Amino acid sequence: MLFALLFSLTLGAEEIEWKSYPEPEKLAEMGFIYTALDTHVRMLSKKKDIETPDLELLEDLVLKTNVEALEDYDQKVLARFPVASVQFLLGRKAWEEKKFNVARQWLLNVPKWHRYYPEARFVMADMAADAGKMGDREAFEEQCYQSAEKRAGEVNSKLLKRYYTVLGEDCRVLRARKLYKEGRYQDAIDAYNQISKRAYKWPYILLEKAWAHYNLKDYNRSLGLLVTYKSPLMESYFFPESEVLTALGYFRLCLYDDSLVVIDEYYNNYKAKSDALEAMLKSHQNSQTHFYNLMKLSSEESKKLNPFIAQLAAQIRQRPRFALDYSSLEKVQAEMKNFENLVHGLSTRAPARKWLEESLKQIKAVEENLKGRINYHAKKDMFDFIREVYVLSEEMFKIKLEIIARKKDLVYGQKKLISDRGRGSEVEVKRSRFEAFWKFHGAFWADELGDFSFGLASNCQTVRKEVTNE
Amino acid sequence: MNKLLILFVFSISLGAIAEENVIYQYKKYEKFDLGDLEVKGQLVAPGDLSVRERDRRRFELDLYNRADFDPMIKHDIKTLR
Repeated sequence: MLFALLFSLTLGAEEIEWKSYPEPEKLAEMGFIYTALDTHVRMLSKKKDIETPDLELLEDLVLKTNVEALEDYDQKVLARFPVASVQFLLGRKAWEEKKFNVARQWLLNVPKWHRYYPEARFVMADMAADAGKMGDREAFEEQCYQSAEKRAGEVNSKLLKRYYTVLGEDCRVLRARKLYKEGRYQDAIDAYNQISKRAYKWPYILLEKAWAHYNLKDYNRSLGLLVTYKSPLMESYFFPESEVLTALGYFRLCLYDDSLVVIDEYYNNYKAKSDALEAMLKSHQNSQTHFYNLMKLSSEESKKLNPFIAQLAAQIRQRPRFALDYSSLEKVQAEMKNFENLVHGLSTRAPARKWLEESLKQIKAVEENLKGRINYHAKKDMFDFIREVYVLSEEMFKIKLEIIARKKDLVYGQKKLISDRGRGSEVEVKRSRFEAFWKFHGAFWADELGDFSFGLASNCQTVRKEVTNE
Repeated sequence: MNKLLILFVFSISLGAIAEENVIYQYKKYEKFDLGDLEVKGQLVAPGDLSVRERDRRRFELDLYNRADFDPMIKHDIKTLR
């Protein structure tokens, strides 16, 4: 790729014999892959009979640019090209528009050997689950996992390796999530346990696993999993829902005061964070560039930001979508710079000039589209975070009200909880025969992250309150 | 024998007619002297004030529980590209 770009710089525009339109193969050879793709699509859209070599070239160019380069084209035009990459793009679009039957038809055409096969199977597994076809869901999810894992081991690009790794993990997590939805909590926990601690998804699934334990009434294990988020290694992750689940765990054990502490901490902690984020979002909510600029700040520049916003941006930056978009943007910008030089170097009377100027416009549109995508997704993720904090604040308030009501009942009933504070004990820890108990007296606790369990006794038994005689 | 039976039936029907003619009379006025009323029994007073305990009916708020992770799955698909 780099060689092709250098080669293109050494080749003067006047040295090429241009026709009234450039040949896509020649443009691709020169390293102008986005321009070649645009040229090829424009030519094919005018052609009545599309031949196999045309389609092979189209597939080759789409794989080099990524399908996002075709997002701006008319879908009716794209539907004429029986190429797996294009069909994958159309399938994804239909899925986003909730046209699931159409999406399924397009995605089924993506063959097993294709780069987009694992992702196509992932989307199909989700659709099968929504349609209640559990057999299909299991088959698609397994195909997705197997093919993604295989490809992750084959590709050399760090970016692609990460993409396939995350995709494979997503397919494994999908299985656990669907088991959870079916109420098969223990099976879901077993499925979650198959995901390595080194996985990108691992910090995210702790919360989900904690929910499964909570629904099995193993509140100690649930609380233990959630305390993992307090580790310094996890400081860049924010899960407001984990605080709600912690408060609920204590509540179910009737440790009302502990629950109230968590609720108060939630308000104190997230209020400051959401205020800072909200102020930033309000002042830039209509900006088309602010969030894009925020995403490309260097780590040194990020230090000047509010630490919470900087960490949130770092979390968004870790997602494969950002990495792919940003990598595509860099490629487009490099090509655009060289292509601009080429067009400006051409004689005003050159027959291909008009066509190439059109291509330059298109490549600029692709660049704008990619910047817009990065900006939009970062903004949306931040707005979603704020919304989640507010929604969960309400849930916290409900827990607080319930605790107050229960405390009031105890007073009216002249009762009290069996002890003021349930003490931890090894006896209270539920564990399988594969799990060990370790006291951690003065021990380092990094390796055991995600394996903790509290040992709190339930405090829900009530005893009669003795009346004191004054 | 037959004569005796007729006589018996006749005497019963005469008795029934006589019962129908009974006139009941009730007291038209009765006076109660409340001060003169006496209740037999033992007078017991509670040592302290107390109320009968009963379970109060209360409604628990519908606390948060996660039904599924479907939104996360959609989010994962969308964040891949």
